[in-house]
Amino acid sequence: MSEQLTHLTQADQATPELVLAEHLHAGFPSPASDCTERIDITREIIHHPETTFYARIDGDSMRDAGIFSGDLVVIDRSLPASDGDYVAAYIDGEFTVKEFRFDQAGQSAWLVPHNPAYSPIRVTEENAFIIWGVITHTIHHVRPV
Amino acid sequence: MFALCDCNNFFVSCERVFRPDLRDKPVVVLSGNDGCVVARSNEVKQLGIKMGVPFYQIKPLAEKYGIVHFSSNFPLYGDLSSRIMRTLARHTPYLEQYSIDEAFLDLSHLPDTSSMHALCVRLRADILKGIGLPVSFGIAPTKTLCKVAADYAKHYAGYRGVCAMDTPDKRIIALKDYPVEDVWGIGRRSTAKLQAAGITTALQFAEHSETFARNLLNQPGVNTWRELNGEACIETTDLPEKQTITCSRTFAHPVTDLNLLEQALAEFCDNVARKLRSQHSVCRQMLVFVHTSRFNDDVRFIQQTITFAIPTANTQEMTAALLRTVCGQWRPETPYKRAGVILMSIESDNGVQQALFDTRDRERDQRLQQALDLINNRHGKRTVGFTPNIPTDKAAGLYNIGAKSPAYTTRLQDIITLKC
Repeated sequence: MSEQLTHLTQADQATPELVLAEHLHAGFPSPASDCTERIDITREIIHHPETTFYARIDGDSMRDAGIFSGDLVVIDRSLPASDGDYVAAYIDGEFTVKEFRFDQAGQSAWLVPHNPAYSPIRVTEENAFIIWGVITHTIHHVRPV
Repeated sequence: MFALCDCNNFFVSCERVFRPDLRDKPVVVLSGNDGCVVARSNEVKQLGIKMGVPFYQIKPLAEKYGIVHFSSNFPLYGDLSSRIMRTLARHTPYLEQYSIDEAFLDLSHLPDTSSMHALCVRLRADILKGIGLPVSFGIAPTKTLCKVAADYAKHYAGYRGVCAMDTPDKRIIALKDYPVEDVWGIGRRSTAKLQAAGITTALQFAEHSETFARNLLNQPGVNTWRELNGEACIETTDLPEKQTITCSRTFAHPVTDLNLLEQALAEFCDNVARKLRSQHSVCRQMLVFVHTSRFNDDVRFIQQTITFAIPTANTQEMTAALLRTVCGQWRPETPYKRAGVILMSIESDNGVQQALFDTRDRERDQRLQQALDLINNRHGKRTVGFTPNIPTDKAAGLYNIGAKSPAYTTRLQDIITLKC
């Protein structure tokens, strides 16, 4: 798993490619040798490499939203948090993930868990609160790595 | 026109990205094992704590005011720095990175100062939100003036982090109160000469004649004088290249074990050789030093310059030569406290002279080195190498890394945890 992420974090850097020295083969040249296109998952996940960070989930308050303890989440700090986004927030000395709800009419902000065992948190002026970034993806292993 | 992007209290700001609780707290970052202050938050600056002071000297103050201290975390600072540089690079045809936290942007492609100002305001907001780091911009016709402008942007809240010095009037007003010793490129010796001539502000210097500047300070001083008068003439790429590459450390505890010392030196050697290769250079000379504490009367030294007949950047060759030298001079029961490697006579790796009686198979060496570099680049710095193999718990005791924050952005094990 650690190796996977090494590649993720280095997605934007030039990764040295293993190039097959074709001229060493004396046989018929491969007709596919010009087809170097490939699928790059990190490109699909990371749109702003400069502002993308990763975090590990600890806890089950977002279980019903499909975010589980031990998951890896991708955070894009450049995105503005909109009503309904899952956000990495810093509240009263702790980083957490919740759904961000913003009630325009009442001018109030909520951090909403997705697990009936937890209650929504109303964010007030008294809270030391910042939205650290918006969660764009979670990476969940369905089989031990 | 240029803009200088300068990060505010860079190392401290990097630490705060992942520690929002320290936003308004006094924070310092210390140099490796030397324990000197290398970065200060504004709160710490206000306490009158100077750059470079040993931490133990300010310990009582630190306790009194609850100053939080960190050891330098270069993987983190380097990664956040490269994020800023890549963000900037998208908005200028020519970005000149000047240090880990400073870069010049050529903005000549923009039609007027107000669009330059607008771009810098936007970049500042993007970097603050997207990366979490506060930066300041100075816009001016020359790099020396950019430095002055960025200083104003940083220290006067009214500028909101972006100061444009685009007219002669603004230039004169800014330079009038600017101490000449703070001007970019004016060192201690120049300051002394200028002060002896009765010059204390940048404006006084700029208003003298070019001949005066030449007679007092020679060519570099003339370039600074021209730049202060709005004539761009300094290319940072023209600044003298680094003539030496150094890696040295103070150990947390005196090292009496030869194997441990060898391990540390091999690691230093690997570091400097890698730097050498990354800039496509080779070196002809390598200085190695090991010594006991400077605070003892009886300082014991190992110091020797090793000369390579054929300039090299090969870790294996360099490590072997270094360990041979140190083993020959090492004395048992001697508490070595500091060691280091300095590379000298650095030249480009183009056109290295071959020697007739060379005993090394250089082509093979090079292939091996390339293979090792490839593996280490992919799987982490010290996956394979020539270091003597020491149990890690023993080697871990070499340095104090107590106050070092995690490598939040470059190691999967170190990423932040979100309580959920």
